Amino acid sequence: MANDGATTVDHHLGEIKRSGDSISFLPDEILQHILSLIPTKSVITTSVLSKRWRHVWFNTPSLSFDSNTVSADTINQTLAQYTARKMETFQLCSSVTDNLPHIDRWVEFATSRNVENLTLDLDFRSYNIPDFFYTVSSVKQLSLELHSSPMIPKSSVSWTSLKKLSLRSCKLSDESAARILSGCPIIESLTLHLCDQLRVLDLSKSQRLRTLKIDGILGPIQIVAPHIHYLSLTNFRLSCTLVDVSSLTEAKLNINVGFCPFEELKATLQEMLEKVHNVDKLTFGKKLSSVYMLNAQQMYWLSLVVKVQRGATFPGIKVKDLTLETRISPHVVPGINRLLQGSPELKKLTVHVTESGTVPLPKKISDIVYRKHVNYFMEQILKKHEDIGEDDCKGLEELLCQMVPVLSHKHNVSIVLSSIKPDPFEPGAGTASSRTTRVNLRQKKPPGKVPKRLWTTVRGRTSS
Amino acid sequence: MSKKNIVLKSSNGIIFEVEEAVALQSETIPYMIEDDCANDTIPLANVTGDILALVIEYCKKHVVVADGDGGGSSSSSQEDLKNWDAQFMNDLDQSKIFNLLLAADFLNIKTLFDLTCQFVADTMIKGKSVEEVRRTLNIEKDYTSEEEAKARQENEWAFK
Repeated sequence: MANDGATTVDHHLGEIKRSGDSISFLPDEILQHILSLIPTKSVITTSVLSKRWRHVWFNTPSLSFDSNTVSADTINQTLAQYTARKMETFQLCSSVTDNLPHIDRWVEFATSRNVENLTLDLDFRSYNIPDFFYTVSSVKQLSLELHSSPMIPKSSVSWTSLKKLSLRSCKLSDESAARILSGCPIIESLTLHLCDQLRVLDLSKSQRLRTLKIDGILGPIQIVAPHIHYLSLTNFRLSCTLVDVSSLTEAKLNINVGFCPFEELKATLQEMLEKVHNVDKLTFGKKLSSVYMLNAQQMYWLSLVVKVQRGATFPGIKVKDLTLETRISPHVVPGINRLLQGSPELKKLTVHVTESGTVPLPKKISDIVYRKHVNYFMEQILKKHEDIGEDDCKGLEELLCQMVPVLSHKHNVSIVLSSIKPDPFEPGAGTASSRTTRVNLRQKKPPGKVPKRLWTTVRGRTSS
Repeated sequence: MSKKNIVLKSSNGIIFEVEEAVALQSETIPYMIEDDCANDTIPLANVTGDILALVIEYCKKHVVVADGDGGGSSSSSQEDLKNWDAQFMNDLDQSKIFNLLLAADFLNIKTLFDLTCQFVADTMIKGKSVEEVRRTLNIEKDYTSEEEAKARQENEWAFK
């Protein structure tokens, strides 16, 4: 029986004559693209589907060995069958000691196929990166997790195609970092996670670098990054000096303040706020106001207060889009209010609620400027939202009651409130957007169906 | 800004008139316009009318959002778009999905191609046993038992 839909791939028609099997008519390249989205182990099982599929996987443009228990024999056997000349992605995760002598050869295999996207997670502690690795010119994206192994290029580095570099748990000296960066002429994005030997990160020669993400720096560090547009700082414990971030437009500060003396914290935060005062979009991550650190949290907001009250000397922050990941409690509300007062150009405020308030304070809202809006908003939450308990609502109510008057002198500030589930492992990793729905309070009638999740927008009415 | 329309003709002669911005999500169509500028209608000999209708539905949805007023609703729009994409794919039967894949490949609409490939990978192959994949995709086993055993043996680890 002929299949009308398959006229474009006549060369496969001879092999498959049934109706119903539509996938086997697709050209190899498309099948291989589909297979490249699946872990290699599953991909290989497609070889027994039918004769048509016997060798399709040999040419899949990506290979991933993401279970670190895969044996050397298995990987060797798989690579022996693999025929693609151009490899898009190679991912290797390994911690089996017996595999250590093979690693360099596997990496060489991938680089000989001009791999573009290379991910290595090597848990051997004493793995030495081979010299050839530092001159691989095909790689566009490189992600290395070395579990405290050192990264020491002996001669010059030449990663001429590299745009995205992510280094995790690499022992990296200032000198090695400088050498690596000098070999990445077109790098656009740099992520450093727990590379805690760095003291000076000089990115002034990386002219195309736009994104810098640093996570988990335990010691003091100076950052010179005049070309970056986006900066994310997560889990800092000690002072971090932003020497030059003059092109910054967006920043996410997610700093662990738990182990920092107040004066030091205040100084660091003030300095940081001064450096980011020009950004359009600013996020304060929830670590700043973690539930474990109520005192530190209060201090943080206090420091903001000090900052704003200086008035004449401090220009305020020019942020237009401000996001706060915070718990809702009476302690944070004054801080938020003062922060809002200090940001006269604000257009959008997003509050991700990470914890319920410890002291929910029910309060009359009859005298609030946007009473109707608030009422409507609360009604929506109480009726439709099941993810957060009543206590949260009271906390939200409190927050809103105090925030709205502050915003009344501003034009068209949109407020978005949502709840995210706290994630104890990855600060800032809450996925608010994936589980939220909007309710626009300007609508006169409630939408017919309001999903059982919370995402509410209050648009402050213009005061004119 | 004047809006220019482009006329597309499917393999079975069905005519679709769409805004230029909608059609230009295909990277193939601009070349066809260049090559064929005297004639206003672009013939797509590889795409049937029902599939072309789906392609256009997808492109229309995505052009609106790409063009949107910005204004701080981007994350929600992205979210809405993702839900729309999921629903769009869910409503299609297998034969349509694979023909859509061929059309997206031919018309070079990368986001539609990636969406469709990802849908096929996630819902029809990933996490399924060989037997389940065969059943899902109506793939007839044309191996003899010995041949299949041999193929399995070659990469025994993958079946554990």
